[in-house]
Amino acid sequence: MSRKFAKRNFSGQSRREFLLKTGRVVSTVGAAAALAPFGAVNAFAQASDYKAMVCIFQFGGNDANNMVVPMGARYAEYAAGRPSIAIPQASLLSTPTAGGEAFGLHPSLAPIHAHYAAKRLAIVANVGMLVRPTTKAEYKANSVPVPMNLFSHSDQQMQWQNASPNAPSSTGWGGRVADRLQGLNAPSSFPPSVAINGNALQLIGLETKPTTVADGFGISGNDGSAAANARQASLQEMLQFDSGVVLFQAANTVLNDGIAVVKLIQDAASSAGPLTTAFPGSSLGQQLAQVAKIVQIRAALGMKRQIFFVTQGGYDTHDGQLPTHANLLADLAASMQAFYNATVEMGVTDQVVTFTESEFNRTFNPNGNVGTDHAWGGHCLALGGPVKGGDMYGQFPTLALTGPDDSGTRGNWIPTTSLDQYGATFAQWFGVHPIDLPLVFPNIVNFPVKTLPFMV
Amino acid sequence: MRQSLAWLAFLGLAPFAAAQLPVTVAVTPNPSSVRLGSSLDYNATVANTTNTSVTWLVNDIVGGNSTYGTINSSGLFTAPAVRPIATILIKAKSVADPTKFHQVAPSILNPYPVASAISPAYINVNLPTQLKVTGSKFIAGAQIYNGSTALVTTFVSATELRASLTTSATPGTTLKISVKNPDPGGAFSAQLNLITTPPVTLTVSPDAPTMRLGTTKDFNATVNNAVIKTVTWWAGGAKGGNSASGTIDVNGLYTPPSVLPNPPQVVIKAVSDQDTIAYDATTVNLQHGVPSISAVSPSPMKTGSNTITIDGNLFAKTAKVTIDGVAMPFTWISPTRINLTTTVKLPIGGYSRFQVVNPDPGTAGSSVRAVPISSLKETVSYANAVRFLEQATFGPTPESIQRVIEIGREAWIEEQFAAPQSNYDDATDTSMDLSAMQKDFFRNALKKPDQLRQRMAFALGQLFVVSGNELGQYWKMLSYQRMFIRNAFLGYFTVIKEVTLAPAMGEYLDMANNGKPDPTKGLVPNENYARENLQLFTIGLDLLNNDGTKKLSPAGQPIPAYTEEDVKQLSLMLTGWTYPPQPGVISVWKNPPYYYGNMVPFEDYHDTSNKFLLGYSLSGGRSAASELDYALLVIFNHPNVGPFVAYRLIQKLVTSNPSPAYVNRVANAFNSPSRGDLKAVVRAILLDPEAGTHPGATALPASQGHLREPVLLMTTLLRSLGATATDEPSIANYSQAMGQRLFYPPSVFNYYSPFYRIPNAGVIAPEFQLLNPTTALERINFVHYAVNNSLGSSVTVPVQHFEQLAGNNDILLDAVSKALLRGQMQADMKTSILNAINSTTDSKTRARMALYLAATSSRFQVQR
Repeated sequence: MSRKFAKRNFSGQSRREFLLKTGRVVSTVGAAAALAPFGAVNAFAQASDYKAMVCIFQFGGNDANNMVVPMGARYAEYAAGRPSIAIPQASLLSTPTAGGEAFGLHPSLAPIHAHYAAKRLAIVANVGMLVRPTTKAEYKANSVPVPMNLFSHSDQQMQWQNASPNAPSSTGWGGRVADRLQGLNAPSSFPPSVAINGNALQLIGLETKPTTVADGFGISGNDGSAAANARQASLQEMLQFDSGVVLFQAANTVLNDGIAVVKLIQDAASSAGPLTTAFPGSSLGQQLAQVAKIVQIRAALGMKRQIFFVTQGGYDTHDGQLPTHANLLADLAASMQAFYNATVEMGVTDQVVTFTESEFNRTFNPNGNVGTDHAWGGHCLALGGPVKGGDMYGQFPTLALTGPDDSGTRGNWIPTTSLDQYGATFAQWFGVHPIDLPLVFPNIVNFPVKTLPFMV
Repeated sequence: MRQSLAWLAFLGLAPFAAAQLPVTVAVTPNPSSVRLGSSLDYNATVANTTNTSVTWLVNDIVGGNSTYGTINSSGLFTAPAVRPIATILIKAKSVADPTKFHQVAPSILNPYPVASAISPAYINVNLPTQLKVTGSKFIAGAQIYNGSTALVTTFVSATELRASLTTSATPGTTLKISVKNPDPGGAFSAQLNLITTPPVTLTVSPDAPTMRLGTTKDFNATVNNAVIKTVTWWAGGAKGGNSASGTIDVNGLYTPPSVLPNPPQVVIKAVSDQDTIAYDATTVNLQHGVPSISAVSPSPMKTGSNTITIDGNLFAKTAKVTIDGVAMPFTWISPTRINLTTTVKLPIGGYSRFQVVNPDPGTAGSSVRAVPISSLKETVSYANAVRFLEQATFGPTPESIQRVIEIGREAWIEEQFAAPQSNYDDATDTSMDLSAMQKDFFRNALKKPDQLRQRMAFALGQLFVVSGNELGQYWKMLSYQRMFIRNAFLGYFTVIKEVTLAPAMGEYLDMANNGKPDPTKGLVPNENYARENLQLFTIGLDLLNNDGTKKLSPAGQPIPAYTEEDVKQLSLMLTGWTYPPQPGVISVWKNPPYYYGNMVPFEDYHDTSNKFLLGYSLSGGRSAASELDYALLVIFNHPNVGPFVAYRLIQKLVTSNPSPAYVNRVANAFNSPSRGDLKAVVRAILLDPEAGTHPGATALPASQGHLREPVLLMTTLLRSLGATATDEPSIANYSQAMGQRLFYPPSVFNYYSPFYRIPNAGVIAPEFQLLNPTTALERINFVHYAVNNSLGSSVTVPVQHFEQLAGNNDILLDAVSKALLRGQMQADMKTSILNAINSTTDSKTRARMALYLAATSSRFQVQR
């Protein structure tokens, strides 16, 4: 069995990390167990259960200002700020906070609206990249470190995924979570992290590597004949050649992974029948359908913890935003609802959480093209049985240009909840011990409050 | 008896003698008859003397002679064997009185014939049969008798007679054959037995066989109803055959002639030895032999004009001689030699396939003779030429390899600069989607000669990205993509300006219809194009040294190259542009989208405030066009642009990880003498020592190279294998499956980032952003389809070239190595591929497997 996915690479890790992980992964007895803090026990106590995190990344910068809108008294403030692209109050889907503040969701989110009242859908307000808690005064005075290259798609997409806004990092926070919990999946060699639509920085760990999975995944020409078997044997033999060339080795590794994963999935595929839940035909819908297929064969794959990453593009709505954004959110909601239905069908609603990320919010102030430009903090959604839904978490910004939350002049909200806190909430639910959170989110040490209470 | 007769004569005649009568002589018997060759005893009675002695003469010759017969002193006459012309006269002459004699003329009878043998001894019923009777004492006019029936007989000699007999007697009957000599004295010989048999029949097998020159065949004759079973073989009308018809030996082994007769048929006949009338014949249909080539000279061969000798066997005069499947005029010298003179080109994998194909009847080709070909003139090594073309084209072809080897890299680049432009076809209507453009792209990449231009346009198109996700119609994308083909070797400033004013970019990043601020509505210009121009097209996020490394602050941090305010200011400077008007339509602010020509300014919508950009200030009140030019010049002259462009184009063409020194050299070429001259940039990139294609290039750094992005993987594999394509190659679905949907990058950030790092490996490898387990399998599956020539009807991969080399492992692997790995396949790979291909003897499978394994290996998947 290939060990590629469980390959140990201790370079660049602290001794503490090494010991912690060794304790978790290898054994519950003897010195290793003694070295492990009690978190390790927790992890093993949960080993009989199953948990999955599904991240939906809204690429392009979701206009969260139109996704979650204040209602009632605060609606006027909203409507005045973006006359050309305001959502009519009457069409909003009411999602009052537990404290009674009136908010509403974009009407396109109707398919998942009912989950709010059912307390499975939570809103997390004004989340974004921060190095540390940052006030407007601090930002204006340039007195605290802030994320590099705010407003750049590529940089902010990377930072949301690697949770490293002020230093390069080639690993993602999901991957670092998987590093810590992959021992629960032992002895399976199926990767703990799966990105459906291509490589995802968020899922790259130091030890664990994500895989991709696709329908019809296979190797053409392998018909079982002696010649085909000889061909495959040679191909795999050559993947082991050490030529000292970095790019050769890297390409070999990926193909080797593909061959291994294909076999694991083919072997496990017969363990469950097809799902009856229907998914939208959109890219996101189909990606989530693929996630559901893998969740369904989780037992045959030997999975106890799985992290998924799916993507939805098109949110860079610089012009003609209203219809574009409405369509995107409609697809998002329909796909999330279909996936929720699939978790019901599979009986894992209480074990799976689905949540959104996006590299940045958009300017509250529209531009001349009935669109919006790049901004900063935005709102996120979390859906699933483990979510303490029916409430808004974090602080909703004051929707005023140059107001207390605006880092500039066009409504670029300075986040009041960092990606670190948002992600750590999921990570802790998933089984990462609070003491280990800085290993996943290096900047979490800068935040007095580590997690938000929106997960059970 | 002679004594007795003498005594009787004495007694009877004695009284006459005593009377002194004249002596008389009387010969008895008289009259007499004697058969030729037989004897008769004559007596002479002498009277009237006591001396009764006589002298015997034949025709007055004492004792006779062989002509007339002989007679001894006692009167015993022996007739001659042959009847003399003269009458035979027997004379007895008295000794006492020699004047007295008696002469008689015996009647000479023919002898009794002696028939001692008859041939054949068996006669087929109802078959006219020539009988030969041998014996002795046959006389002309003798007749052969069947019982009492005389046969028409030919007298051959005294010992042989012939006659034809047809009998209808019941088989098994014994016919009595005798000979009767003619009169006088005609008499029968003793009878000979002639046994009747059923007719002799023969069957020659195989019947009407087809056989090739150069082969032999054993014929058999089954002889029925004969005691003598042997036959005599004939070929083409000659016993034992001849050189024109082939020869057949006594055992029936037939060897065809060396040249096909016309018509190509030979009759093989077996004649019964018992009954030479009986035979069977069959017609052999001859075909050309299977030709074989034993040697081609010269070998190895150089490109250019060659006088070539092909030696072998069974070459037909009307054969076809092919080199790599192309028929060549030739001179037929003999079945074992052909000469030809032709211009030899570098073939796929460095081996040309020679073959002689004989025509019908029995068309057959020789097995292929592989001849290694190398360039006549070598200014660049084969490996360096291939590597160079991997960097400068959509993949090396044999023609381009030969060209680079012969004229060198520098001259080849200049030749490419001057090559006529290939382009995308005109849009025929506005409903066409980008699939037609994808086909045009692959046509140009696979087939067109202006490869460097096309490769540069592909690189520039991935630098100034628009996407079919928003511009998914041919007419929207056409002028934009043509612009890169047109500008591939012009100035970078021109590219920036044409990109900025292109309607497609105007739509994609909102340059179009971006008006000045409207304070009453709180609206500001769209920042989209301004931001991405700075970040992605020209300057980048951080200040750079000329070698591409980041400038660092005293605190060791990167220094942002521009501020949010620069973005806002640039967006203001670029306000006031709308789509060009459609022909014949009055231009208004916010023209409807139209994608031909440049966008046009409307001053009313252009912001005229004072501005600053990247440290330069500009007083207000200027026109949209002049501010745009000013802004683009400020940007173009930013010191980041040289290293920015150098780094990205090096990555696209040569390596993901250029050294700072390499970037510096290319940036210098960008900076001066003519800033932004893309020809100078291309020369600097491709001729740099770090590209590794110069004579004496040493080992490449471990991080050198780049993963072939899907499109390049496809085109390089196909061109390297000599694939041919229609003008509409329909293969874009493969690059899409591998993660690169042509003309549909997911965003302005292209398919991958120039800074993408392989996770945990440290090195930058942009194209690896597209490589994951799924696409890795898609890549090897593409290779599978390609080497099995199953990419659909629009692209044909001549896999047979390699299949026909697959009889020889060394040649096959060398050709695969030359085609796909610059001729540098390493020993470990050779061993592995050999082990794999030796699992089968099927040359087709062997060749395809070798190609698959070489092309799926990272040593091909990565261009290095």
